[in-house]
Amino acid sequence: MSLTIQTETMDAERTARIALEGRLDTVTALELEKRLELLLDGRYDRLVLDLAGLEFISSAGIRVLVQARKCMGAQDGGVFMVNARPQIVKVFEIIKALPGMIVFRSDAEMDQYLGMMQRRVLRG
Amino acid sequence: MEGEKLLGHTVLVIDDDYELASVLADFLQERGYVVLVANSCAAARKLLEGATVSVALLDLRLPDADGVDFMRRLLAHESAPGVVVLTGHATIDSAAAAVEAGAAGYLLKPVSLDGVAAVVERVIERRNVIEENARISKERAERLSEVEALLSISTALATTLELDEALRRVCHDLVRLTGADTAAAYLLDQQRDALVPCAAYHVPKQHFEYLATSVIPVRDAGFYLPLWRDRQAVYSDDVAGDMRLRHSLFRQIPHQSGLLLPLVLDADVAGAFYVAWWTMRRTFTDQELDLLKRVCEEVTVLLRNARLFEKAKTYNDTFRELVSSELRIAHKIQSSALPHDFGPLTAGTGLEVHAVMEPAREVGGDLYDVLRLPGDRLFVVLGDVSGKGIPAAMFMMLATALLRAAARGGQEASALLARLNDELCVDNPTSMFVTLACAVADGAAGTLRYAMAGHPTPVLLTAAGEAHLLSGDAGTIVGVLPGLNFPSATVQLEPGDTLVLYSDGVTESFDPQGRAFGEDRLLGALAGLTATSARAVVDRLQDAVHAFTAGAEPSDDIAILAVRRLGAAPLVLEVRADPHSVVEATDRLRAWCGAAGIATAAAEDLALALEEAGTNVAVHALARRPEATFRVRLAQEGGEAVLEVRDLGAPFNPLEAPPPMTAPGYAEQRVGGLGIPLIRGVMTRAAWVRDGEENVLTLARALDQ
Repeated sequence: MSLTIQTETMDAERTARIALEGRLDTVTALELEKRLELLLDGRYDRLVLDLAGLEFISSAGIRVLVQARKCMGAQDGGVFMVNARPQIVKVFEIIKALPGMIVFRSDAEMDQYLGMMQRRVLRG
Repeated sequence: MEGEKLLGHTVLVIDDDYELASVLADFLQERGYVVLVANSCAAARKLLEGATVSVALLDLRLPDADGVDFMRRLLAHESAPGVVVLTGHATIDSAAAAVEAGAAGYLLKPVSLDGVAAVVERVIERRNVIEENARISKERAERLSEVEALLSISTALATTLELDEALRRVCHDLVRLTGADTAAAYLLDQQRDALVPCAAYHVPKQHFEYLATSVIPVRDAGFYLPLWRDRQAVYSDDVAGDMRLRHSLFRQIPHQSGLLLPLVLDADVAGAFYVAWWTMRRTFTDQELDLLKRVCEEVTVLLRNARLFEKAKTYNDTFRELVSSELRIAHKIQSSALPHDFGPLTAGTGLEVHAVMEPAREVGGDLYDVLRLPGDRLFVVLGDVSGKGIPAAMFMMLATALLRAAARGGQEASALLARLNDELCVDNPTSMFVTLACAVADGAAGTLRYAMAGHPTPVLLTAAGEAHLLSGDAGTIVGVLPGLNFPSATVQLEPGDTLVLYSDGVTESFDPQGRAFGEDRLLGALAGLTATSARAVVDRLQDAVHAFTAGAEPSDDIAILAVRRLGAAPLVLEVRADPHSVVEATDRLRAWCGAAGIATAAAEDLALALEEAGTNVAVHALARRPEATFRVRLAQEGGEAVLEVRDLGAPFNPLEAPPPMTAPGYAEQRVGGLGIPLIRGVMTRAAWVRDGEENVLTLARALDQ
């Protein structure tokens, strides 16, 4: 089974949004890696991964995501995962959460978090 | 001879002897004849033009023509008089010749007056007789043609149920019979309260349109009401002047004479014939009217028959519609009584079931049923009721209901059948019977206890794809004799084994050449089918039967039920040490899990474990050597899915890799570091041993979570 990668960029917000569909295994991780290399040229601070269609992730895939995180800007940048399926959430929980790589249950939750971060920034 | 018969007859004397002629004339006149005298052929001819002569007294020796010649020419005419030839002694030969030529008689000159009188009388008498005969013959001929006409009408009515066609033929016969010019038939249309034209004969083209569309209103004053009141024929030889026939129909198409004949059915006017003469003035004798009335009576019989036939046809159509809708309803009831959704029934039993029933007619007599028993066991049954259609279906539903009740009572297979048998025997007036095969299956232990009642032997299809018939006694049919025992036996189902029940509609399916599907083809269709589902087994068999019969009309219901123990023979793979091969192995693993009935979550965990372990082995133990392989074995054992990875590489224990770090920089962990926590996270057991030259990694995932 393959992996489908759909990209959406929001330059003003310095955010790239990628929807993944299928399986992220040791073979398809290479494809994602190549795509991310092209995409993440420093323009973005944040990578949002919509995982609604992702059925499987292995260590190979996680490694790619960790590398992507390094391309994101510091501080409030990061790799955010939304709409992950239970199986995927389980895998992330085994690996344990990492700073800047947050798994949100939904876009709403992510927006809430970002809103909170914004306010924190504004308050200084 | 009576004097009256002579009166009025005209005698023509043709003689050039004036004295003789005058004597004869006086004499005959005295006797009451009208006498004409001619002295030559020419004169005679003239007189004959103007008068009807009964007898001609002809002198053979006439001045202007040969007497015999003249006579011949005379006799050639229609209504020629009888000719008596007068001749002298000297010419007796010519007299004989004249008689031969058609003379009615001869007289020798000198004639005696009495002789003349006698001859004339005789000739006239003979003429009367001939006329009388002709008249009688004509009458007889007429009557014959009447009879013929009646016969023709009767035949027409008897041989055709097509009302319009019959009426047309009657119109034709009426015209012939009565010497009319045209005739038309009308039938009463009750909705429109009018007589509507249905058939006609010899209607002139220019009047056809009008006649075809003109309808005679019943209550119309211009129409003759006594037709309805008295039910009598109405006729007129002067239609234009007849006050009774005032309707525009009678005026629009001018005709001289008309005859209106009612068709009376059950004392009501149901129609009429109208017969017309364009120019002739036609009157009718009572005899004729009587005959025509009889014709109408015959037609009425036809009318009655046509109506009855119409009614019968409507009833027949209604009945057919009722029967077919009843069958549809019965089919719906029956098919909703058969279980179709097996998932909920079998969940958690370690078994899966699938079944189909194809009825030969709209309602079938084959049955199957699946029942969940206490202890997560499953009861399955497949049966065949004698006969087809609604009675079989009803008996089938009764049997099913009784079986369910008995099965819930916890009885074992053989006892179930005995109980069902006794109950069905109780109230079975039509002596219907059913053959059955039933089984109680324990998915956890894998045991299946089956009992047979005269039913085709079930087939066991192993996980490896071997198909064979079960052994044992076939038992006897249910529902005929009470108090019977039914043989039973036990068979062990290994994971992935399937028991197939079927009705004889399967083995007795016929192809267009009349060959039966049979047990051999049944076994052949299933053999080789592996690692699959109960549904796939049923589909395979059903498809094989359809392909065999190739569209021939099914002779019997077809029922198939497969009960399969979940699981599969262990999966054994040899995997190459490259990413693609590892991913492919995880696909094979997922397929095996599906066939083995392992839940998706567990299957995904196993797939992840295999990918991580496989990648580790490929990278570390086998150092990514292109031709190197490692072996994978996956089996379902004692509530666990056990995954074993063996390789002949360098000693390497993946489980010894350091645990994950949560501090930043862990991403720099050596390759493979993430895999181990993942394996430990999704598997419930993980162990490594070095067995001789092999690394053996054994992982297990509990399946009840």
